[in-house]
Amino acid sequence: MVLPLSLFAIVAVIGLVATMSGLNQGVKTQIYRTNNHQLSFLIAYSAFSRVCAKIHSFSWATRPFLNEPYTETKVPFQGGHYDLLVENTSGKPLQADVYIRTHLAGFSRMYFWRIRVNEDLFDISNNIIVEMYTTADPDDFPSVNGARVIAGKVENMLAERAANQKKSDQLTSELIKINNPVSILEKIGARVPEDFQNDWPIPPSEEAMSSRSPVTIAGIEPQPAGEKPGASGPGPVSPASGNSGSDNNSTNPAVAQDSMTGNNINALAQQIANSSEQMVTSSANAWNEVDAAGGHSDAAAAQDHFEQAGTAKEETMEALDDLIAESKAGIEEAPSPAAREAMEERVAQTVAAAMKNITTSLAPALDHLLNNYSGYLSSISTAEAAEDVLSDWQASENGAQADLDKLSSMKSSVSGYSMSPEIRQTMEDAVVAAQERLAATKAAVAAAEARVAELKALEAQANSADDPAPEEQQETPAW
Amino acid sequence: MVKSRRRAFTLVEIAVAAGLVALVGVVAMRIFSTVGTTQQNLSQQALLQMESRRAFDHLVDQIRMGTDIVRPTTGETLPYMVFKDVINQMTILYLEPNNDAANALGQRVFRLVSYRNDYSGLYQKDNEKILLDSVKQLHFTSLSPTSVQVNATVVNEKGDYQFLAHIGLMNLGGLE
Repeated sequence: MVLPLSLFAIVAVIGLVATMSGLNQGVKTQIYRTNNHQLSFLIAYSAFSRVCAKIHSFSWATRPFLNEPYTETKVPFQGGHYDLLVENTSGKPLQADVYIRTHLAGFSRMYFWRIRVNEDLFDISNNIIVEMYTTADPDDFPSVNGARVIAGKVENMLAERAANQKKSDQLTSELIKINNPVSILEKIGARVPEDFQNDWPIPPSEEAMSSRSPVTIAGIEPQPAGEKPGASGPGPVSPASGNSGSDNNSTNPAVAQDSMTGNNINALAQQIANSSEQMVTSSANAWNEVDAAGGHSDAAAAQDHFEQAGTAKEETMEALDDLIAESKAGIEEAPSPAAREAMEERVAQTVAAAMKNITTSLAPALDHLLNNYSGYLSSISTAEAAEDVLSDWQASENGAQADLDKLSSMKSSVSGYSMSPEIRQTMEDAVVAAQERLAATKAAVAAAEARVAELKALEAQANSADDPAPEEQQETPAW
Repeated sequence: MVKSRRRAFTLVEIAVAAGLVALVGVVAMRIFSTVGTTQQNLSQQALLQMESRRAFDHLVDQIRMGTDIVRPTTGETLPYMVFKDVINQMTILYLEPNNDAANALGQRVFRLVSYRNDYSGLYQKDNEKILLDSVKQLHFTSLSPTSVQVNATVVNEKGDYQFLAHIGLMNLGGLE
């Protein structure tokens, strides 16, 4: 009785183990195949990278496939092997087609790359650009003299891609502004799913993900005037581009936000650039009118421009104060040293550009003063008129002193920030220019004071000649 | 001459033997049962892995062929992804609630759906694919303008399986 039972038990165990291992083997085989799928791509990509390295190491003019296709066959790699064929793309200069067929664990897979070579020696990071990557049937791997089935399909795909380019860009610019997934699905035309029938608990990680505020999209703004070639100085830095680069609409409110800190730094920088450039333009227009009026700074045509320049200057100063104050918190809370450095450089550049524009706008007034003040004072014939001029120039001196204090304060506010030597020098030059303006104004005020004294003395002398002093009248009879 | 005498089992001996056989039988049954359950669990987990890896392959192949990541933007993490495919058709990967699986597992379970917009202006059923049936959670993080990190957890009765992949776009050249 024991023996049959034991035999039965042994047979049952063997049967169970055999069934289970068979099942497991099947699953393992499937997993092995999916692993090989990725490994095959890695083999092909390694082979492709070797082709790129070869193109780099030769010049395009001496590439290995210049006159005929370059081939490699059954190159062993990572437990499998690959076949390779590289040739010039028919009818397209500086382009090449790369065919790679991998063999791994009994399976063959085929990959195709069409590359464009950029022979710009100054742009080494962008020398080889993939125009098209696709997979294909391994049987379509070409022989040197055989048909090029894939190349034809690739041409069709490129044509389709070109046809869809504008539509996709348009859709991208709309999708990039939407943060609601349902709206995105509707915009794409996909089926909007219904919610769960039951009220299942939401995992904490998913809840945190749902409540997270969306990342603000940074746009590409037009290049500020100060950054253009030949411009007089540095200006605010354009924000980092987004993924697609197609959302360059400056009316997008999201563009105004700094994605690093949430502060409104980008908008302020743009405002400062605009107002300080307006100040330079209005000032130049005003002094052109003054010159046209024969050097009279009180020319009526110039007054509007002077007022506009004054308003723009006030706006610039206010926006600069806001920028420095707001950026301070953002810089302190910067997520990384690199982000902090980038923000500091951006603020410093904006401040430097504004300082330069402020001194540029005031330069014509300084030139006018230096060239004309002595002649103008000489032309004044009465002490009263000279006192009026003195009063105006003393106000100008106060203004020049205030400007110098303001520029020095701005410079010291950002002096600890990371910035290039050129930016630091621009700020230094602006402060020096403000100091020169103050010195020139002080000299003019001193000259005006001297002129007032001189004219008063002359008037007193003239009065005494015309109308003798009472003391003299009294004394004369006494003599 | 000695005559041998064959002696029968006593009642006690038979009882002990029967007890031992019963004990061995019970132990063997317990072992079979445990081995069976373990094998079943392992098979389920292996199947889960297999399905996940297969879906993962589809996912990687799709994204790798893309020309441009629309969402998430760089630095953004989202439970869906929008990108342009190799011929600039807009493709979205997103989750939809899977009520059957959720009811069976007693938790939120989603399907991973891929839909491609061919600019026809209409919903095209053929452009929709179900990549995975039992996703617990899925996040896409764009770490650069040309690559995305996928972090997914798939689930069945026997447990979870998580995978993480960093996928780079291959079709970056655009047009002449």
